[in-house]
Amino acid sequence: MRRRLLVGHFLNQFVENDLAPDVDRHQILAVAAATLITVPLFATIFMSVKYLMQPLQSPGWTEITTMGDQMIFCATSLLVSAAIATLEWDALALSPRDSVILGVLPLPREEIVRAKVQALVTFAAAFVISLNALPTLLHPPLTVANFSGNPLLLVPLVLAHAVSTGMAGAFGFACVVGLREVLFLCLGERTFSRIAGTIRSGLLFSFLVLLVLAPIRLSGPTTWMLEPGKGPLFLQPVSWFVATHAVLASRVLEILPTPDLPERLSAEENRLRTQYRRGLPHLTSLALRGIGVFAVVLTISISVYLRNARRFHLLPEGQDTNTVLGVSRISDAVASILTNKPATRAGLLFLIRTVAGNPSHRVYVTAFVATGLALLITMAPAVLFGDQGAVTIQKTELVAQTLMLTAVVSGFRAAIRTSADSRAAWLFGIAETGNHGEFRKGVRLGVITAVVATVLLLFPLHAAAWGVSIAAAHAINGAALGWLLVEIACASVERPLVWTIPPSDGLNTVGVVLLGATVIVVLVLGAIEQVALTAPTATAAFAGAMLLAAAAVRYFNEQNYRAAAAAQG
Amino acid sequence: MTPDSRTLEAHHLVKRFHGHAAVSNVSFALRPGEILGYLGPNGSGKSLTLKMLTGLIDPTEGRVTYSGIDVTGGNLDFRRRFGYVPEEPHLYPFLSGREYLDLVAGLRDLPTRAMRLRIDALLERFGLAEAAEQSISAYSKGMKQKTLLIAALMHDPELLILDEPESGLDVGSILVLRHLVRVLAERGRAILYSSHIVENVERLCTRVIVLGAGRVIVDGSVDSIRTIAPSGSLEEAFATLAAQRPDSLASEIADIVTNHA
Repeated sequence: MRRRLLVGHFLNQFVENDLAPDVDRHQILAVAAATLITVPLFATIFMSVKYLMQPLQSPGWTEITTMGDQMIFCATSLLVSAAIATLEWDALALSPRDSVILGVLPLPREEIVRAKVQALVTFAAAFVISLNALPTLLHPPLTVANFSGNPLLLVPLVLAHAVSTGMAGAFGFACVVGLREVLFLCLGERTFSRIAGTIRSGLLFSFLVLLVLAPIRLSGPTTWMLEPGKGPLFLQPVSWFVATHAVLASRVLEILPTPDLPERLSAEENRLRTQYRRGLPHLTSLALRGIGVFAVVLTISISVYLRNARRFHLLPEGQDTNTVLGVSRISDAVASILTNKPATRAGLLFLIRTVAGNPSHRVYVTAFVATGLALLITMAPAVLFGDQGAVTIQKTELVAQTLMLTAVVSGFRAAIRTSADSRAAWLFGIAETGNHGEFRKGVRLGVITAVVATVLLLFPLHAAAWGVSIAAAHAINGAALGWLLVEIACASVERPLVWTIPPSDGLNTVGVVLLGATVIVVLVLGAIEQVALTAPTATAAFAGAMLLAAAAVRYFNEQNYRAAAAAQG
Repeated sequence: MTPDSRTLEAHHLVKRFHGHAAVSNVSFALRPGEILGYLGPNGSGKSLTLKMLTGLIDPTEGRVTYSGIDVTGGNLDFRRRFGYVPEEPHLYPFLSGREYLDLVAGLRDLPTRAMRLRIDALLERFGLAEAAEQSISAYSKGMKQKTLLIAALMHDPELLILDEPESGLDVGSILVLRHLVRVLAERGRAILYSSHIVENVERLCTRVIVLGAGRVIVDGSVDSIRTIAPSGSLEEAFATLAAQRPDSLASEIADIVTNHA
């Protein structure tokens, strides 16, 4: 009874994540749960269309093609599970709060730890199963829908999918838990508590970049997996689980009937089948290596976890992030360069220190910047990747900077619309001396600084690809567009970082439309800029138009704030 | 175990962090019916001592006994016998007040029906009945403190360890708390009352320990400590013992605030 109560309580902690603001926590959780179900469903259907559209589907082609699909499924399962484990960082082990509350109750420490481990395993299993359930049930039948045969043969295919994606997800989750516990053991409670927040942000950033890149970069051929020593090193963990699937599924795929194929297709089919059969021993060794590494990671994670849980820990995590990263000094230096007005300076410093030090604000900015970076990597000028034939500037290459800036501004927008701490917001009430306009200016200045920094960081890459003059023109356009984005993002945020503005009720339904509209606007802007870059006057006109629009948006925003202030008396 | 044997004893407790002693050689005994005041300036090691007594932190040296049995580092039977109000209002913000108290009662294995009635009665008396279903994240500091007090009292402990229990409470609630502590002591409960507020300790406690820089500076009755100050006030005696010069320090602060040069 007590054990069940404890396990239920710990499971509740996973759901009631402190990162989601109180105001709209349940709405965020509902959207997250719906996304967890629907995105894999649509992705599976999208990925399965190629099988259904294949009138002469052959076993060899199916074997090789499913390996590519599995690469995406396993990578997604691994990365999403690892990202979720990172988001649940504080709830992975007994927190200082648990220690103080539960540590004085007449409960054996072992019982508390056992309940925590049980809750952790239950949460991880439930998450991995929810993430992979629909693809597991849908993808295998759709891949062999064109073949007639015993329907029971689907069972091994479904099992192979479940085992490979399930193992990948569990591996991702266990790696984060293991890393956290090993760092805790090696660094000690005090040092770990100081840098935990920074480690967490770094991990989340990496997982999100890889997650956005995964479907784009992994959709190519995966035949490198069939030969020893081939393929990028960072894909090795994913290849272990893909190989596990291939080994388990090959028993069924190998006995599928080959249709009558035209000569050219028949030769290709023979080549693919031979290549696959030759690669099977290597795939088996990859699968065994995966099982071995998985077992090692699991053993280390569990043993270190149990060792660390032998005593209660009372130091809260991530409290000194600003000091550790030197954010206080850096932000002071930035603020003294940009402004000397106290209220503007207060707004600027508050933004920098909140984003660096507050876990939920850090997550918002990290998530958006990671997405932007992944898109940037995907769309970056081809010449940077060694494509010397790419001499003309593509529209997508110009769009990359705009998308990155949109991501940066969106991250800051999410942050400034969330209260740094609603209980501490009284401070802004009593410190009100009619200078909130200056405070808002400081916050806006902080976001504009982030935009300009992004443009400056991208400039050397663009200069290397297109030459200094075009890169400079692109940077000017980017800065002007960035300012416009900042003004739009800051609209209607009267008290940035003070009041939480919950997302509107209609956002869940119109969100997709908004996303689509953003893509269209970004593409149109890319096309206009492509023309604008042909002449300096055109560039000046483009940048000027952006600055004019930004100034107009700002003027109307300030008018609205003044009208609202006058109405309040 | 006879009622008289229920004595909590700290034996030469020491806690070091990176070689620095935050608590040094603290020893005392607390008997049933006694209210022991535990005074000391910020950072003197008061809360750390209480955490060692409750088993939340292991002492570097020394031990804690209850009824003569070693309970250093926490002992299940001992944990059933004490109630603890921590210095910080550690509560799960996503639970309501009642859910939190139900959780603590369940984990203490207290009989469900009887405990529900007792929790209801305590919520009513502490003025939390209307807010009982609200999320703790919406509670004021005083409401959180009352929730912690109910959680510490609901199993009728023999020993109460209170770390600044009056924190955040309104005047009326502080008065109720004072009377409650006194009544519980009269009924044989031992109470360790840690506080910054000298007035509370002066009015409540039969004995006082003053801690400074992790060491026991004085351990005696309120009257005997009063004799240290020429004015006979415990507040002044405490300032003398803690080597504080409140009047000159206050002048220095006022100078900083009012000096616009």
